[in-house]
Amino acid sequence: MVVKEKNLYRFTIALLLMFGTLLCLGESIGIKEGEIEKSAYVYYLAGCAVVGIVAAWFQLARKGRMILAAAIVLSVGIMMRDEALWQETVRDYIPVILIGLFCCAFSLLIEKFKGIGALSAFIVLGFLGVDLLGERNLPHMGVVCALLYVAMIYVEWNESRWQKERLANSRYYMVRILPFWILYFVLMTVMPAQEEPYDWQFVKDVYRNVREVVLQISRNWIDADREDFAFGTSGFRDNSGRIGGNISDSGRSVMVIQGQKSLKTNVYLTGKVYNTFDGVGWTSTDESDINDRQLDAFETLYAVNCLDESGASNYIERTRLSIWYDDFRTGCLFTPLKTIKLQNMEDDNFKSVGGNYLFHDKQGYGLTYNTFFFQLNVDHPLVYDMLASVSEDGFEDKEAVLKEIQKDYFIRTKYKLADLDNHRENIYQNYNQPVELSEEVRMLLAEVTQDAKNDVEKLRAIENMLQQMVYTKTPGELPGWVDSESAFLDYFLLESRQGYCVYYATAFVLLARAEGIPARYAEGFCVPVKGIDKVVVTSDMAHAWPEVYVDHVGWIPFEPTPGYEAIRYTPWEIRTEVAPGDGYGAGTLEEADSDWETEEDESEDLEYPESQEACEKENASETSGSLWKIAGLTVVFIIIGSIMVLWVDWLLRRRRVKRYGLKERFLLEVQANMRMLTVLGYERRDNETLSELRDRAWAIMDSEESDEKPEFHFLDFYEEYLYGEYAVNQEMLDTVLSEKRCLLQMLKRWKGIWYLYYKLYYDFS
Amino acid sequence: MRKRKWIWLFLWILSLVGISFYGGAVSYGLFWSLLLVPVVSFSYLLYVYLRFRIYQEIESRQVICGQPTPYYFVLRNEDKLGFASIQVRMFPDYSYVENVAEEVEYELLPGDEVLYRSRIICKYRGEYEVGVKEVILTDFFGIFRFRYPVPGAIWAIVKPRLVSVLGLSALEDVVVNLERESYLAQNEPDVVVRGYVPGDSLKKIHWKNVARTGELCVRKDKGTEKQGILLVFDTCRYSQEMAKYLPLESKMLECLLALALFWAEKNTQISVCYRQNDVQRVDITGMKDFEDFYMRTADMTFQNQESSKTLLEWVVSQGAVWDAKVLVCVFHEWTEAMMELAERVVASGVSVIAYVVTDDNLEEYIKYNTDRQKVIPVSITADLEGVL
Repeated sequence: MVVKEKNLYRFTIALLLMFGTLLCLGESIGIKEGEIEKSAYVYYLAGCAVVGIVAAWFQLARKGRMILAAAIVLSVGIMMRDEALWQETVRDYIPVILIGLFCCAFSLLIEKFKGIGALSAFIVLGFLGVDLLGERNLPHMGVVCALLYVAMIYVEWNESRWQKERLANSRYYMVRILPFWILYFVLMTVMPAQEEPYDWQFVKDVYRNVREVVLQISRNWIDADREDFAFGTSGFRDNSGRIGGNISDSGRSVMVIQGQKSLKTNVYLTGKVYNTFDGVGWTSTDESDINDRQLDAFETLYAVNCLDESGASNYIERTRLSIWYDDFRTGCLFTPLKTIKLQNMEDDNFKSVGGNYLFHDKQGYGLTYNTFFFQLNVDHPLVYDMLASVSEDGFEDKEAVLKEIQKDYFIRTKYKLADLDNHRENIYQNYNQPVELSEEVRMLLAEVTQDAKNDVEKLRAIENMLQQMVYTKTPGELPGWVDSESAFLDYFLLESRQGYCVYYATAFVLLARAEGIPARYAEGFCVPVKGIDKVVVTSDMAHAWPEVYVDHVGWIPFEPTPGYEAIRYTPWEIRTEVAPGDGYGAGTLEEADSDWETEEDESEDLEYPESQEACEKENASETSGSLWKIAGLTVVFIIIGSIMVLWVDWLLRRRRVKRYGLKERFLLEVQANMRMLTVLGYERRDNETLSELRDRAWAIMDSEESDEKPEFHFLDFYEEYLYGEYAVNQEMLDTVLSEKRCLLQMLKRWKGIWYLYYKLYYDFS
Repeated sequence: MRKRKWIWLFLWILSLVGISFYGGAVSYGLFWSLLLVPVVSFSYLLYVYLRFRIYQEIESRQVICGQPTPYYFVLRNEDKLGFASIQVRMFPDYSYVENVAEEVEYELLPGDEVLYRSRIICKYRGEYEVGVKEVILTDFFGIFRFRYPVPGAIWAIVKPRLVSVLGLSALEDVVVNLERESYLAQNEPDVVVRGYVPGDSLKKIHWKNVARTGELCVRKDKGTEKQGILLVFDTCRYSQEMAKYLPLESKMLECLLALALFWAEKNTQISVCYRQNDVQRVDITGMKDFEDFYMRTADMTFQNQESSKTLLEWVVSQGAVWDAKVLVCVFHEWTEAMMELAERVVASGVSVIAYVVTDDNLEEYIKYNTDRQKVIPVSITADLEGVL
């Protein structure tokens, strides 16, 4: 039985080696998986047969071996008679036979020379490491066999060093735990091994959630630096402020909005607009203090009324939106396009910079305000016709219209036509930078816009082209060579052709500018809401879109992102008969809300400061300020958490120690005392007895002037316990504890930090 | 083992880093192989836990404190698979097994059996677990360990030790006085005399004894012969911690039994008073009575919450003490009040010897020791020989 088990283990190793080798070498020796599948399994069977024959050889007695040898010779003889078969066998199976024989020989070697097993395990690990770094991709089963081999060698090595009472050789033991090796093998085989590195999405989600919680806490506690709204800070993009990388949904509630009956279109809340793109991200370099948003609304209102005063409501319609900030903290004041007035928002709270409304101090949970704005009847042919005709021919200024608008008790602005001219000039200065296109993109753009008769049609053609591409939230990182506008367009339009809203908005803006049309990139939230419904705006509604400036009309939004056109374009039906007083897109009187009328009575004039005060705090970099604070909070939590863990651990140890018996407690305390002695410099030397240690410590201690000097009786007791078979009693334990207190005092005097450690960790009184 | 655990953890973290940056069979294979080590290990330990058998037996569940009793335990592998490492731990506090090496680990292959024969010695009287306390299993990777208490531990009923003392040195002068008194009585074998107290009837004066001794003495009434020695034993439990009350109670019982045995061997009549719910009195006139009493001590429980002072007061108030020549107390504590009570008893002609089983300092009482009243401290850990 002993021999049988020894052989079983030996040839288990051989089999493992053989399988691993065949699987890993595979193609190199002619085993082509996939070509003819059956042939691969035949090779493995052949290998098993070789190992089996060698195992049988060792197992059998002389007579059996002779029979076996005769059978092999006979088989070979039969095969040799058929020359073709023989040549095929030799060609295809010789490598397998040699490998099988080598594995058997190697397993015998391992048994004879212990070091070879360990060396071979290291070689196998090295081989796996090279494969890993070289990304050669060994087959899964081959790797499993290799790792199992390493594990078995480790256990065998461990077994040889293990000091325990055995009644048999360790090899027999290895055989007797074979079922668990099989379990290990099966489990490793069924576990998945994907080609890509693990993306740790759940960890990222946890991290994101924790980060948002920390941010939420920090926003309530800490007056963080200004941080403009960007995809990253709303928590659903890895690299905020930059294009590239994957985004994922996050259902965090950021604000709640509610419209009125007059709200006919879905709401696009603008957070921030940008004008400069460097190939990987947008920045805002427009620092003008013109109230772009209100001027824009005014310009559109003026244009529409100049063109069709009575039918203005077919183009624009005034409405109101109530906004309430929830789990959100931002330096941006969100408003829809064409906002003419803000209510419940102090003028001192924000300033207008470069087309954006920016708070002086970040605002968050609980901020509430109303925004009165003009919704555009975009995508209605009437509007496109109007845009086209104005962009080509312009319109005649009508002073009367201007005065009527200015008289409107609701609007009541001080704007003049000259203000509109300044506004227009600023736009052309900041939002119409020339864009260089590569030859291929230029040709593509020309092809797309070849049938367009005017700028509006060009823009619609570009929009249409982009809408045919693929929407994805996981486009991956931008390649390193994308570092300019043209490189981005080359990559996005010619190579990748997929992405999310940021990509499409960016491409649209760049292509529009390439056509000489001022355009800007806007980020905010795209909220499907109509009427009086109260809607929770979540962070996965964050969106980016382009806005194009049409001369004398204002900023017009477009929607190039595939799948979003239905949200953007919800034109309402035009009215052929317009009631009196329906100018300025105010809607009919009958449709006006009572609240609207009430608020009109209570409305305040918007007074924009003529000069802006500088911010009290300078802008730090976008994220570094708050991230430092987050890091600080994290460190604090880690410290507190560590203290809690240590304290709980101490409590549990104390409880455990209290249940110790006399002997266990004695040994524990003696060990603690010995450690303290070591720290104090009385480490027990090699071959030094406890008595000698005691004498040595006494001699040094004698010279110390101290009231409390340990007598080191505990060393005597320990010695008696170890060698004199004395039973531990309470007196011995009390002595140890008493001397422990002395040692602690000594530590306190000489080794402050160690005193704390031992006091905390070893004092259970 | 801890070092191996740390190494395993370190390698596993490395494998986590590996799969974060590299895909493929190798990185995931390393990760899974390391992650599955505790899974396989725990499976193995669970299997061994369910299949491993340990048998232990003691020759008799009723043993005597301090006397070795034959004991054995068997570790057996009745399964088809091997057990990597089995280690046993004994109950350390109140008993020990001779020549057992607790650090030894055993590897048991199928059919293997390790038989360990030895002797177990219980240190204290009482009822408690002895033998193998827990088993420690280690997996074949040598990384994880599992310990569990042995089901069906042996409960031993340990009777107090019998200490036979050759003499009671503390009582030597008291015994002399007793002998002198009995010698006096031996001249009138059927008459017991005592000193004359003013007020005694003149008819009771024993003139012959007066002529011999020169001192006035009167006959005692028949039927009022002194019983000899009264032993009062305190059964109050002074602590709830086993480590504290077991040694104390064991020593007190030893003391009581040693004294009772001493007098029983001399056929001196003694009475033992102790409280078990109510006060019990046992008379011991010889060895047979002593053996019966010894069996009773096995069932004696220390649960009384009333202090030894109240017991002493009761004994004095009930008059039991007046029939004795010597009052011997075996207590754990001795106070001023008890000292005063003892002096009253001594004044009535009864010697008082108090054996106080304690490690406290009793010098303030010992300095008042006389030949008729003594306080003798008995250390909880000391041998009774030489102390009694």
